[in-house]
This record gives sequence, C-alpha cells and structure tokens, in this order.
Amino acid sequence: VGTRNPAKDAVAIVGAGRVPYSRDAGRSGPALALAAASAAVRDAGLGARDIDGVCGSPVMSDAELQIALGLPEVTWSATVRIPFAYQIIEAVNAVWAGACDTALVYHATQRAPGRVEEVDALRRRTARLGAYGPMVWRTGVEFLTPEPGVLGGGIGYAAWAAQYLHEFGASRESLGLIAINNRNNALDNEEAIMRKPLTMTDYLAARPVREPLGLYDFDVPVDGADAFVITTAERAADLCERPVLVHAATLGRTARAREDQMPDLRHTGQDLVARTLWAKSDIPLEAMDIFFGYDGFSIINLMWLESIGYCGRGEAHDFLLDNWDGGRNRVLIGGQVPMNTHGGSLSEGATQGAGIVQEAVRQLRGQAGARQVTGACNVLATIGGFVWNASALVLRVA
Amino acid sequence: VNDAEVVARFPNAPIDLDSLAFFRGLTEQRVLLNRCADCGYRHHPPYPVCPRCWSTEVAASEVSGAGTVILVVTVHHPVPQAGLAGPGPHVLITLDLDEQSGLRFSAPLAVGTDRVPAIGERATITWQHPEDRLLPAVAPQPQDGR
Repeated sequence: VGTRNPAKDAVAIVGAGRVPYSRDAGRSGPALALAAASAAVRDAGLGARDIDGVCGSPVMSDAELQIALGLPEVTWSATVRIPFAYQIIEAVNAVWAGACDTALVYHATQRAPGRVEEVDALRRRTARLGAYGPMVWRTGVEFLTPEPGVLGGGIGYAAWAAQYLHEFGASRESLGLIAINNRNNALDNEEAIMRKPLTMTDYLAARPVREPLGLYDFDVPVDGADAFVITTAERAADLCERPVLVHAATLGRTARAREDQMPDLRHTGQDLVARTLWAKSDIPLEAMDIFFGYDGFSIINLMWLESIGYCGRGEAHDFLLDNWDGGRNRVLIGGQVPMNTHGGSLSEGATQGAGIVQEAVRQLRGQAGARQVTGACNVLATIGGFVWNASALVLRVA
Repeated sequence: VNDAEVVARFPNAPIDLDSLAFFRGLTEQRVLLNRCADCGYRHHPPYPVCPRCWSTEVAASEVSGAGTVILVVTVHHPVPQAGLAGPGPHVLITLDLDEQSGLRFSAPLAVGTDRVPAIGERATITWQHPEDRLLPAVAPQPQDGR
C-alpha cells in the first residue's frame, strides 16, 4: 500500500464547534449539525462566503447543509459514513489537492432514546421513510431486533471480544480497565454524560448485554454534534495562533471486512492503519503527548492499544497494569501520557469518533480546562473499529 | 391538530421536527414558510437556521399565496396520486412569491383549471381536497375582461 504523505503538515484545523451531548436534545439531527457547523465557522473567525468545501455524515447531506447555511459557493463536497475521521481525512486531501481552500466538516448524532412521545413517533415515521438513515439506529431497529444469524455491529464485536479472551487467556478485567479509565477521565469533563466514578466491582456486576460484554462495555447513546473548519496551513497561520496541523492520516481496511468473515485478530484494519500511519508520520509513538483509542465498544479500545504499537497483540492487560496511575485510577502511559482525556464514547458520549477529534483539538489549542495536558503538542487519535472502519490521525501544533 | 395527526395526514412526506410546522399549516389551509425573527429573511423548504444570518430564531410564518409563475412543467410520467390532477398529463407550477424575491413554492395546477398559466403570469395558491385530504394547488389569476 502507498505510504507517501505529501499533505504532511500542509493542512490544518482552524475552527471547532459543538452542540454539547445530551440524552435527548429534543432537536432534529440536521438542527444539531447546523448549530455545530455554524459555531465552527464563527470560531475560525470566518463567514459563509469563506467556505468552499463541505463534508459531513449522513444525518444531513453536504448539499442540504450548504442550502440551510446559505453557503454561496462550494467547489467540493461529500457525504461520508462513520467513523468521524474519514471526513477529516477526505477534507485534508481535498484542501491539499486544491479541490477547495476551506472545508467545513461535521458530524451529528441522534441515537439517544427520545423522551417526548410525539417526537418519537415522528422519528419512527422518518426512519421508516428512509429519509434519515441514522434514525433507524435511534429507534433501535437494527441493534435490538437483528435477524437470526446476523453477527453485525455490537454483536459481532462482542463475539470477537470472546475470541480475544479465549485466545489470549485474558479476563473481563482487561476490558474493565478500559471502562474505568475512560469513566474516571470523564469526571473532569463537564460535557460528559457519565460522571459517576466506576469501580471494577461495578463493572463486573453490570448486567450482561452481549456476553462477554456488559453494560459498561458499550458506548452511551447521545444526541450531539461536532464540526470543524479545515484549510491550508498557510492560510491557517493568518487565521489563528495555534492551528492544529494534520501531520499524518490514514484509514485501513483489509479484505473480508465483515464481522463473521474476518480471519482473525492479527490481520485487521487496525493493523494496516498502524503499518501505514507509522510509515507516514515523522512523529513516533514515543513522542505522543496524548493517546486517543476509539471505544465504541471497550474491546476496540483495548485492540487499538495493541495494534498501534503500545504493546503486542494479547498484551494489553499487562500493559494497562504496568501503566496504571493508582492515584487517579486511570492509565498514564510511561507515567505521562493519558488515554481518552475526555472520557471517550463510553463516558463522554457516543459520537462515532467526533468526540475524540474535538478533544484532540481542544487539548492542542490549550482549551481543555481542568483536564488540560500541559504542553500537549502531539496527539495520536485512533478512530473506528477493527472490522471495516479503522483509521488514525496524528495531529500536532507547531 | 397534534403532531401525530399531522404525520398521519401526510403518509409520504418527509416530516421531521423542522418541517412539522409547515405540514401542520397545510392541514389548516395555510402556507407557512420559515421566516427569521432576527433579520426577516424567509426560506423554504424549512431548516432550523436562517440561511442569511444563521440565527436559529426561525418560525413558520404565513404567506399570502400570491406570486408570479417562474417554472411550468407538464408531466406525462409518473402519474400523480388519485385526485391531485385530472386525466392525462398534469402540470406543476413554481411561484415566485410576492413576500420575497426568490422565495419559491411549487404545487400542481388546480384541477379544473381551463388553461396553463404562462411564465411571468400572476397566479395564486389555492386548495383542493383529493380523497378528503387538503393540499395546495396553483390557480392563475383571472385575467381582465374575462
């Protein structure tokens, strides 16, 4: 596979917007996307006429977002599936190639159970019409009533979690350490949905959902949105003091990328991401100030630690124990590098990677409040699962 | 008319929280198009933000229905739903509404209209009742001397 990286440090994130996550925003998915998107443009100090590229996720198509925000002239746009890292990668490539100068990228999530009866009825209606795909997820049609024999999504990941425990003689405590780390980091994040401390006793006692995974192994459905403005590093230098440079980025998918057809845990998309990313990045793993491991399900986060090179396959449990900060009850790699400072999808809320990008940008800009990692300059964000949507970003500030 | 009834009355419409007020208006024989409370700009179809000033203070606001024909198309295929048009090809019309230049609204030519209005002609939104439903249509303004 190709490992050229001509876009290295040539493109930057210069604006960020968010609709804080909630269990029921009481607003449509497009309303969330539009609020975050307009906030990101304003944060960059720009206006509608400065945006000539648009890339988002399917809750609202790129064309619809352009119409709704009245963006006068766009020369590049795309609607891309999750995880939210693909949108960043697409926009970086587009800006670097000259397809546009300044791209607005966004992701909105509307998966939390609605509390308002009529609103729910409407959501079911739109889901049935297929007008808004993600609402199918919201109503639980896919996840709660799978056809017999379907091993997709969270069920498939639970099955591979069982395979992991079997092959490497690991225990559920390995996964519990992930959930505990992310929860304890969320205590410092006012925007996190889950802010009650979690102990191993709590973790092990939680109700099983898809064995061996239980309640705390699955991310928390929320409503929310994140958006970013991406432009050339040259322009970024004029726009803000600390542009977040995209140093290296890649996705990775291997053949047989279906849950039940995947050959084993040693030849996954994550392994391909690692090989490609480290060939592209001048910044080595050892120089990262913060590690983000996507945690849509705890097993994914555990796998990322191994895949990206912190330890070998099957060694994550020992690695976590060797790098555990007993005082804070969380991971501190080498005594210095925290993991998922915002709480991740398991505790901040499930936004398919967008929460990671938002937190990475906040940390690099020095805007992470109580959880700010002092002097954070290099960040590694591994986003997506290990079946069909693995990807990673290396972000930095100069 | 509560939310669930609005949804039930338009079984094929992409109703969501942002378009609900528009469809509720139709059940009351009113055309309600989003208008910005901050800058006064109107837009359609409805989004929860003003495309001119990005204010989220937008609300469905009634328009008179009067306007100028800007698009006319005669459709032979597909055949429309029962009651929406007479036999044979049906005509769809887009009006540029008087409230704001560029604010457009599209509907079928009202059933029983004896002529197709020309581009540039004055026309207005009217209502028809196919199969006990209430839907907007467009009727040309009576011309002088007729």
